[in-house]
Formats: sequence, C-alpha cells, structure tokens
Amino acid sequence: MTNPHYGEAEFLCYQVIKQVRERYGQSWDLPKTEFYKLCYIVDRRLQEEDIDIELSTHWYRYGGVLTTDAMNTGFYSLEEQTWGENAGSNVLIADGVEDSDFDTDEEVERAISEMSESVVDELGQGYGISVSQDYQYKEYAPDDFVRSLHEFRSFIQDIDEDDALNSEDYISGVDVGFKDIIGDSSPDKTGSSASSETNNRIRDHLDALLAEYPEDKYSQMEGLFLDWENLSWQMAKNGFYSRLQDFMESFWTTFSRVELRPKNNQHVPLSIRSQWNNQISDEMESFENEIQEKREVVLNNRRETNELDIISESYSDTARDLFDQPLQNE
Amino acid sequence: MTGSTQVLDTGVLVGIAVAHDQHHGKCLEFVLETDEVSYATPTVGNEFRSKLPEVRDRLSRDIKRHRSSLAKQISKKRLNRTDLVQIREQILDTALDAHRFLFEFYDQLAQQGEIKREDLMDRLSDMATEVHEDAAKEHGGFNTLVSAWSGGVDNYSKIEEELLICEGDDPDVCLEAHHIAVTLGGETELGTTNPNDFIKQQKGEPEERKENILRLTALSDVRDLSIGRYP
Repeated sequence: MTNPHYGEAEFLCYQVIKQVRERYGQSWDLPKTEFYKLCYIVDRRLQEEDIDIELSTHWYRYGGVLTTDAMNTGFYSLEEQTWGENAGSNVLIADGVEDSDFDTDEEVERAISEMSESVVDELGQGYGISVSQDYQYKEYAPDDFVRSLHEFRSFIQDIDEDDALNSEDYISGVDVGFKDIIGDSSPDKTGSSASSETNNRIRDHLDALLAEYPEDKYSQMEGLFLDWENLSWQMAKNGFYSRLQDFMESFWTTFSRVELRPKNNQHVPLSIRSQWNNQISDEMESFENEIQEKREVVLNNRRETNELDIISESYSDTARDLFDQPLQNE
Repeated sequence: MTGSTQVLDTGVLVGIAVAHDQHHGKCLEFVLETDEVSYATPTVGNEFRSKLPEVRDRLSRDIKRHRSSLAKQISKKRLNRTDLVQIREQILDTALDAHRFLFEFYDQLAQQGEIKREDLMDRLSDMATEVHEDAAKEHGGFNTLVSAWSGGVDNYSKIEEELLICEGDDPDVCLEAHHIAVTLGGETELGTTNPNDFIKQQKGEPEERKENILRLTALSDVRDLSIGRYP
C-alpha cells in the first residue's frame, strides 16, 4: 500500500497488536476484549503525558475499551477461536499492513510505539497478556461510584461461589413458590441470621454506593438506582442471594448502557452516541419491568415489618393528598 | 353481612389499598360487610389504576432519597436524640411529599432515644418497601375485595340533566353506579369518601345530593365512608 489509509488513532491499535506479536509471536492469543482494553490503557497513559491522538474510547461493563464502531478497522483481522469452553476472536494484523499505511507525526509515532511497548511489557506475563477488570477499575474508573459498584459486583459473585448449594435452593424455591418450600419459617432464619457477616458486608457496600452515587452526572437512572439499592438490601436481609446476584447483573448492564457508556467516552462521533442514546428509553423500561417483577417476589416472601403503621395517620394523609392531585410521571 | 352490591368511589379504593389509618379500617369494614360483589366503575377504576403505581413510586422514592441523604451526610454509628432532631430539622428535605410522615417518624424515634445508624437505614428501607405493599393483603388483597365492572355503561343523559352532583367526574361515577344497579337488579349502594359532593345539601340547591341521587337512580343507598380528617 502506498497511500496511508489510517491515522494516529489506528496506529496506536496497530502498535498494540504489533508489540504483543513481537513479544509472544503469531501463535499467542490476543483476545478481542484484551486488545480493546490494552488500546484504552495505552491511550490513557499517553494522555497523562499530554498526548491526545483522539482515539475513540468508552466505558462499558468490562472497563475502558476501544470504540471500534468509530474507526476504520481494516488494519486488523479477527480469527475465530475456541479457548476451552469459550469461543472468541483472536486479533491479528491484517495481511500486508505495515507502518507506512499510517499517517503519523514522527514524534507522536515514537511516543505511541514506546508507550505500547511499555504497557505490553508491564501487563504481559510469561503465559500471555491479560488485563484484569480489577486493574482497569482500580486505575481508571471514571468515578468512585463506578469503582464501588465493581467491588460490590465482585463481592456478590464470591457469595455465589461460597454458597452455591444455598443459592440453587433459593432459585428453585422462589420459582416454584417460596412459601411452599420454606413453609412458615421466616426467611430470616435461613437468610440473614445465618449470614449476618455477609449481610454486614453487603450493607457496607450498598451504603458506600448510596453515598457515592453522583446524582448530577447519572441523573437519568437516579430513581431506578434507588429502587435497585433498596430491593437489593431487602433481598439480602431476607436471604434471597441468588436473586440479588441476578439483579446486580441486570442493573450493571442497564447502568452501563444508560449512564456509564454515554457519560464516559472520548472522541466518539455523534452518530454513534446517538445510536447509544436511542437505546436508553427501552433499556430503562425493561429494567423498570424487572424491578416490578423482583419487587413482587420480595413483597410476597419477605419477613413482615410494620413501619407504616407507626406513622399511619400522617402517611395515609399524604397518600390521599397525592391521589387528589393530578400527577405526572416522575 | 348484607346482600347489597357495592359500587366504590376512588377514595374508598385508596382507603382499602393504600391507607393504614382509621379510614382504611372503615372502608375495609364496608366491603367486608356484604356477601355481594364490590365494584370499581370504569371511571373510578381507571383513575385509581393509573395513579396507584405513581403515588407508590413517588412516596417510596422520597423515602429512598432521604435514605440516600443520610448515607451521604451521616457517619456516626449511634444516633442520639440530638442527632435525630438534627436529621429531622436539617437533612430531611421539606420539599419531599414524604416530609410529613418522615417528620413524625423522627419525632417518635427522638422520643425513644438512641438508635444505631444501620438500624435507622434498615427501618427506612422497610418503610420504602411497605409503601408498595397492598394494605389489604391480610384480607386476601385488594383484587379479591374489589372487582372491575366490565359490563359496559349505557347513556343516561336524562338522569344526568337532573343530577345536582356536577364536580369533576362525579356525575359519571353516579351514572355508572346506576347502570350497575339497573343491570344487576337488587340492592346496590354507592360507597364514597366525599360527602360534600355525594351526600350533603349545597347552597342554592333544592335538596340534599343524596336524596337527589336516590330519587333519580336505581341506587338504594349512598354511604359516607369519610373520617374526621378526610377529606
């Protein structure tokens, strides 16, 4: 190829593949997700040195990644591959693509090459290269809330591992009618008292999330976040751990699409941001439906409490006043 | 037990499904006293069904928002009377619809003395959850106590012309109740929490509203289910 097809942003991605290939050879794996994360990290490190090559990146569930939809990706190819039970794509430089296909400033080119090499050196290990989610969240999470949410998610996944048998019991219990399985015994007996240490930690995680949620930044999902947090605590204190974990995953996915990705991205073209924005109302509606379903499960199976009876008159007056007013959807 | 079919206005539905006070008791007692069906008319049922989730969300979210303010602003593990009064005066947002009952909640907590922060957060979470609960669940739930009228409604424009009741959709509620009475036959009573519009005589009007309704429609009674504080 004689005329350069690609710019500096593409050169960065090309360099990442090239460095991995130089270090590990053609036969080593570079899964797509690792590649996207490595490009993000190299770009961040360059920006720390005031070099911004306008690479399109965004945050999503698994961390900061390359926004591939925003770039011309012809310089690399994906080879379908299976790793154990997981199928995925291995990233290779496309046939015939070389340095001269990229139009770059000489100084920037040197900085990109050096940074790519240094990141691959730092994160690469004897058996290949892998960027843990923890690493990205710890180093580059866009805010404390997102970092804490990741920590909570990791914690909940561990509960599942420690308590797998119980979780399975709970899933079937809830699905076939919780009360049939546990009879009249309070879920509290099998749930929170047996796991009070677990619940103390869940309480601390949720408390941190409430304290850190940036309402101004993530205003669209503020109400749904509050609903999710409250229901999550009710699930934990009543011992519905498997539901809690499922619910975490759907919240995380919805939050990633509604707030995380649209609010934490760089150099992503308007056309792609518009596509993201177009999904938001459907995502929110589907999560709202899930909240209603989960709430029914919780309401039907939770240990009873009587907080409203203590303030029955003022509560009832307030509710009646609202029924007498014309309302608008929140 | 009585053998009257019942037709309920919105206030009665609110009393059954949402209220927790004397009004709840009174409305519940009313629907439990008949062995016939208690109906929500189309006008009443639609209004209630559209507002119920919104009212619940709004109050529940208010409590959750207040909980979130506590999480952001309070780090003490144990809260004494002074702390509780301070939360009530400084952290509890007066703009919240839930302000009135949360204020009373803190009043009661302060009288009891100390509370652990985690217990306060837990109780507020329970409160926010209870808002979504059917207040009639111990009696089989709202949906078993109240049925939606699905038998259509005819036009009764001649009666409508003579009805004194004129506020909002009150005349529609009367005519729908009349239609149910005509269709089913037998005793049919209308339960309302709005005696001003449905029962009492208004200035300049020749007769009591209740007399007027009973004279023109097939209803056998209009029952006052209001309480001292409501409406």
